[in-house]
Amino acid sequence: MKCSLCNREAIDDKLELCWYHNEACKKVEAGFEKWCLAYGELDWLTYLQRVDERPETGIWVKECCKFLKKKKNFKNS
Amino acid sequence: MPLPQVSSPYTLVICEKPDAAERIAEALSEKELNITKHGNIKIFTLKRSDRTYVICSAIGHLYMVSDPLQKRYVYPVFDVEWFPIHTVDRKRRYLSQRIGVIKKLAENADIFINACDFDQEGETIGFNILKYACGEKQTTALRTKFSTLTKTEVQEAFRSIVHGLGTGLAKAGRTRHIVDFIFGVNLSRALSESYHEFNQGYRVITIGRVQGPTLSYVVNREVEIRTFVPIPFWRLHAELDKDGATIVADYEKKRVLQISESQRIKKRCEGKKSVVTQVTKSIYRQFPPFPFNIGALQKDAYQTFGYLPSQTLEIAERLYLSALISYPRTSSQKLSPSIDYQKILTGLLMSKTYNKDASEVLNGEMIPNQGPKVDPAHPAIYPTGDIPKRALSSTEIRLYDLIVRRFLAVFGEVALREQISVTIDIGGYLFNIYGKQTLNEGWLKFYRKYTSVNDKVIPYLVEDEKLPLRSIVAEENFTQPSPRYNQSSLLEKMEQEDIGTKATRANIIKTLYDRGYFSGSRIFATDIAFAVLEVMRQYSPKIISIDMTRKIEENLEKIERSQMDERIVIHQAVDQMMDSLAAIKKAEKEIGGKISQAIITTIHKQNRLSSCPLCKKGTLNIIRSKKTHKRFIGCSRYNKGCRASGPLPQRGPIIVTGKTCSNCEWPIVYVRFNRKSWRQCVNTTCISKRKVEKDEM
Repeated sequence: MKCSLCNREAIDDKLELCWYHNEACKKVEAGFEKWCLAYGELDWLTYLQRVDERPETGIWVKECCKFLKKKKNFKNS
Repeated sequence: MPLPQVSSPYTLVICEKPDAAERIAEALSEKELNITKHGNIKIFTLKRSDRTYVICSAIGHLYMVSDPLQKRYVYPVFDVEWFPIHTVDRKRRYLSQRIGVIKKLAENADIFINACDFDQEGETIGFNILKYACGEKQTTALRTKFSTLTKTEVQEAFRSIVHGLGTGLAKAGRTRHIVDFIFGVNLSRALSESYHEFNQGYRVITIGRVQGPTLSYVVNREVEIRTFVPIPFWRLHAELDKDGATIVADYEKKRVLQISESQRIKKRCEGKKSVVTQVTKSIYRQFPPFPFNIGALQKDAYQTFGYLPSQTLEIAERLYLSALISYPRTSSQKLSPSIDYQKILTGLLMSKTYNKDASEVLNGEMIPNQGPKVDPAHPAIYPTGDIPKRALSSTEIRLYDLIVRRFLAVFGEVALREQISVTIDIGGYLFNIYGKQTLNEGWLKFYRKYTSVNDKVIPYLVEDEKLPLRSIVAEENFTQPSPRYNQSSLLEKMEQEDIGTKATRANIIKTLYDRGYFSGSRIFATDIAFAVLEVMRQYSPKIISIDMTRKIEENLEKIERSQMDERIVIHQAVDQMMDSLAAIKKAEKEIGGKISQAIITTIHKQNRLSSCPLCKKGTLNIIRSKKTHKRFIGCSRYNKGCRASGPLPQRGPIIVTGKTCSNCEWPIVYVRFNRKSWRQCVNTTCISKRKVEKDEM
């Protein structure tokens, strides 16, 4: 199975992501706690949006943010 | 032309490079120096103490390790032999004539002297020539040892000539070549063959004992950068009034992790009195730098002039061959006590540029500040004090100046600097101001233009002084990813981790660029780099481990000191390769597919300029015409009717800048050709081009 975000082999069957994008997603999730602590209250989608907008954010993290946003929006709809 | 007619027997001196041979010949000749040319090869004949000396040179390595079958696609290959390079590499056929000349000269010689550079590579070059071209003379030949090509040192080296000085060095050097062949050639052939197996194409894909770990540093850093999530934090600073001027004090905590806390501090400080609670001054000593070794020289030359490490090595070699500096391929941070500092400094006195500084050092104690690193073969890099006999190029002048000033700085006095720290209380919160100034310049006066030591002057403040508070600022910041490696910092990393040698590190980095694994001056790892490293992690993890290559380096040092048999190291290398190569062989198609895909993606990315300014849907790419083989720019939606296209220069590399023209929004490319470089908008109808045309008219 291929990664949903690139051409590499997926290692995570649930999210269908390769090792690199999986690592990026893990870091996005770990960062959420720190951002919540920093800003007080923050919802998941705003967090993803703001991380995606930062210039220092890694390219795979940006791809993951867009991917996770889509997934969340899809679930909500 | 014929070889020199010399009455035999004579002493044959083998040098590493033609320039070195010429310098040595000039230094040794007492009266007459005869030069005969055989094609491009110069042979020097001279009389010295009633003995005839014939001096000839190699041009780097004349022999190399290869497999007896010499079939490029066959692996594994463990039985290796030394061959004349011209029989293996067709591009270097010109070396056959040089070997022929040395063979001919060796026939009538009765004493042989190896005068190649005194290190592993030099010893290997000399050893192989003596063994294969001179007929097994490596055991009886004499050895010279010098660190500069000045007349005095060369003459001294020939006076104190010894027998069997570099035996350990030669064994270690030859073992290094064999081990590197076993790892590098086998794995590279396995990867190239996998690529061929998948798509029947041919591409050189290399990996080696030192390339592996170097590649992994860059790829690991790339992963770190691409998976980086910035974390917010706040910096607080107070703007205070001091006699009408604004001074800025930083909050004692460098990072406040919560916005609520930063706002609370800001509110509590606003409108409060600010009082200077403490002023401390401390004087500290800044010691002179260590003398240059090749790594430090490459690092400073990159930071100061932007010279690539390989370029610095090349320039330094030229300065060495012109007898202006000592042998540059050294890891030593020590100047040997036998070096005549007085003579060097007196030589520098003759130069207008260094006259004042050299005389100041001459009047001092002349004790150098030395570092811990030692190189048994050569001391740290130092100027010889000789005056250049030829006009130096601008790059040579700059590097020479850096080396001379560093040499002078090493003898300089300790610099005295003062650090002033002021603490200000604002509503119970502490803010700091720091200042630094130089009290006694010491060595800095010689090396000021090459250091980043700067003064930061702050206004005079006393304890209990009240400073009106203008404002408190809470600034939002984000953590930053680790910087990308550049050629200099990567070289430094290799040096820290002790992989490769001082002579080969810069070339390893260059090879990784040539193979398409790296791109940009701030090093980006390409998809090919990722694919090769992933394959290595799966099938030959040891090749990318620092431990393995470091262990081999340790063993080579043991061989150099005659504490280990070279056969053990070679057998270990063969054992380590067996399993890896068998596993790669089984998975050739899968590996080839992975690498092919990565190559296609990398080429596609490198050729992509920007989104198409005409159709707004496609992308502008660099395309090579199948019919004419010329390159041009075209839209990816050509088939769907978009006719956006532009011509490109047909020669020289074209670098994608990622920037677009401010007039027409078409991409701008950077072109390099014939020592010139320029940026150009690829749109032929761009207004900027019309302006240029009008100007020209």
